[in-house]
Amino acid sequence: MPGTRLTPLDHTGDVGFELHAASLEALFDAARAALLRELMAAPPTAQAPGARPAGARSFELTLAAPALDRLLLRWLDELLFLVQVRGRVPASARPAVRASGGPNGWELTARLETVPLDVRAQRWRGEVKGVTYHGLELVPDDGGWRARVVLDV
Amino acid sequence: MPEAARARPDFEPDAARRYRIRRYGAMRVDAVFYASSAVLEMLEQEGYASLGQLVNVASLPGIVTPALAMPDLHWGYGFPIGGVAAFDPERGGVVSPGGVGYDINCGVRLLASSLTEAALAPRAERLADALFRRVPSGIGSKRTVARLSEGELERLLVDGASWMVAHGFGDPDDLAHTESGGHLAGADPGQLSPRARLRGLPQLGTLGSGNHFLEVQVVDEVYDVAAADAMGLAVGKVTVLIHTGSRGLGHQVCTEFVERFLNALPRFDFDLPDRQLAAAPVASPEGRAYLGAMRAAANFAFANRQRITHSVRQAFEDVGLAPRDHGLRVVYDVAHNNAKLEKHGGRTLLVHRKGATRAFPPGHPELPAAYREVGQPVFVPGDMGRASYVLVGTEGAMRDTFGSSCHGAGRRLSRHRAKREARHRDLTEELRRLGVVVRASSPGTLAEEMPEAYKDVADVVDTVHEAGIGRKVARLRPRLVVKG
Repeated sequence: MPGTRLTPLDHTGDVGFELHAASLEALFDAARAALLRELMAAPPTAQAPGARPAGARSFELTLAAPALDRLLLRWLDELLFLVQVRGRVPASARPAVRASGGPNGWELTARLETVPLDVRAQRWRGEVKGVTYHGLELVPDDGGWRARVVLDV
Repeated sequence: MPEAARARPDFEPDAARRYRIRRYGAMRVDAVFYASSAVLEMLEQEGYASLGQLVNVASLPGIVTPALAMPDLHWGYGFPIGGVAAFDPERGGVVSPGGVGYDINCGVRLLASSLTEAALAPRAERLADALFRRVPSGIGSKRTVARLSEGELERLLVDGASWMVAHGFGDPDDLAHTESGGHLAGADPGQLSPRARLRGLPQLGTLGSGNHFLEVQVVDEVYDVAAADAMGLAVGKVTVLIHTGSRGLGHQVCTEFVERFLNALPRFDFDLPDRQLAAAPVASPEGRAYLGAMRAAANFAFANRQRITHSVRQAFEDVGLAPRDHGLRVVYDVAHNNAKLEKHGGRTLLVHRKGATRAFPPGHPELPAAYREVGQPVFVPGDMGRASYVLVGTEGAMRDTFGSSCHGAGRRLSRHRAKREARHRDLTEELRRLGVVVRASSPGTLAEEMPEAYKDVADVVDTVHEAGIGRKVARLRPRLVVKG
C-alpha cells in the first residue's frame, strides 16, 4: 500500500496504532491490517487473483456513523466481531467511504475476502476486548488522512 | 498516546501516602490519590496523564467529593485504572460505562485448600496440565466448556453464580463467600443485544487472555493471624487464585452503551472532556438501561468464576486428590470493575470502581458472617514470579474512599517492550528456577506477562496499608500459573 504508514502506539497500559494514508479507503484498509496484527502474529494476506484458499468466503458489508472517526471505530468493531465470534479473518477488503448526508453522515461499504480463523497457523496472540473512543482521531493531514486508535486488550 | 492533561496538576500531601488536587477549572470536586514515592516517580514519567484523567472524572455531573485513585493508578481509557468515583442519583449523578470498563465485573476469587506445599510438589506438572486442559482460554481454544441454550443463558444473566450452583457446578457455601452472594439484583437481560449474547455463549467457563490467569499458590507469610484464621489461611497451605471477568459479553455491553450514550449526549446538559467518559444520568432511561445490562454482565462474570471453580476442583481430582483431600473452598470472590448502589454518609450513591476493589470494614452488614469481625477480604494479584496479597477492608477505607482499595500491581513495561526484552530468553525455564510451573496459550502471552512487565505489587500493598485503606493479612507465592 504505497504512501500508507503504520506506527504502533507503545504505551504501558494498552495497545493501539497511528496510521497515515493517501486516501480514506487506504486508511480503512490499513486499519484492518493493523487490527489483525494485534490479534495474530501471522495474519493471512490477500490471495493472488484466481487463487481461493480452502474455506474462503466473501461478502459485502455496509456501515454508517455520524462522524468519520466513529465510522472507523464501527469498522474495527465489526471486524473484531467477525474474527472473535464468527471465526472469519478478513484477509483483504476493498472499503469505500462516502459522505451520505443525514444524521449518519458517513457510510462505508466493503467487500471482504475472509478465511477461517486458524489459531496455530495464524499464530493467535490474544483477544482484543474493544476499540475505545479514547484519543480516537481521523483527520485530514498533509494531503491525506491520519488516524489514531487505542484498543483495550 | 494519552490525551489527558500533560501539565502536572497542582497537588499537595494531604495525609499519609495521600495527595489532594484542589478543585480548579471544570472540576466539580477535589481529586485525591494515594501514592508511594515510586508511584509519584511513575506519574512524572507518564507526564501525569492518569492524574489528568482523574481531573476529568472530577468534572462529571453529580460526583460526590472526592474523585479518587488508588496507588495502583495508571492511564486507562477515560477513567484512570485504579479510579473510584461516587455519584449521587438524587443530584443529577451519572453512570459511565467507561467508569466500569470493558470487562464488566472482572474480579478475583481465592480458593483455600487443606493441602500443603509438600502434597502439591509431586503432582505439580500433572496438575498444571489438568488445569490448562480444564480451563480453556477462550477464543481459538480447542478446549471447550459445555455451551448453554439461549433460555439457560437468560436465567444465568439474572441468577449469576447461583445458576451454576443450582446446576451442580459448586456448593451453596461458595455463594455465601462471594460479593453480593454472586448475583446483582436488577439485572435486565432484555438490554443485551443478540451480539452480546453471541459473544458470551461460547465463553462461559473460560479465562480470556491478557492479564487474566489462574494460579496455584502457597501462603508464605501471615501478617494478621486473626484475619488469616477467619479465612482458613496458614503458612504452607495451598491456595488457588482465579482472575477473570464477563468475557466478550461484557465487552460488547460496554462498546454498545458508550456509543448509545454518545448519541444521547445532546439531550443531557453537560459536556464531556473525553468521549470515553460518555455518561448518562442514573435516573435517565439510558442510565437505567445500562445498569440493567451491566448487572446482567456482572452476573455472567460471577457465573464464569463459579464455573471455573468447578473446573479447578475437577482438575485436582484428575491428579488423584479427592474432594476430602483437596478441601477446596471459596474464601471470597471480589470484583474490581463495576458500579454499585451503596449507602455512604446516609446517602445512596452509585460507586464506580474501575480497577479498584470494594473494601468494607468489620461490622458491615453486607459481609458474610465469617468476616463480620475482621473485614471484607481484598485480593491483590501481583505478577507470576513474585507474589499476590490478601488484605481486609478497614474503617479508614469506608471513611476516605467509599469503602475501596487497590486491585493489582499495574504494568511497568508496554506489551511491545516486554516482548522485545523477552526475546532470546526461556521464560518458562526462568520461572521454573523460581519454583513456578507455567502453562500459557502462546509464547507471546508469556512474554507480555513476564514478571518484569509489572511493578512490584508489594509497594502498592504497603501504600494501602500505611494509608489505612486496607490491612495486610497474608502473602501468596505462585507455584503453578495458567495464562490464557
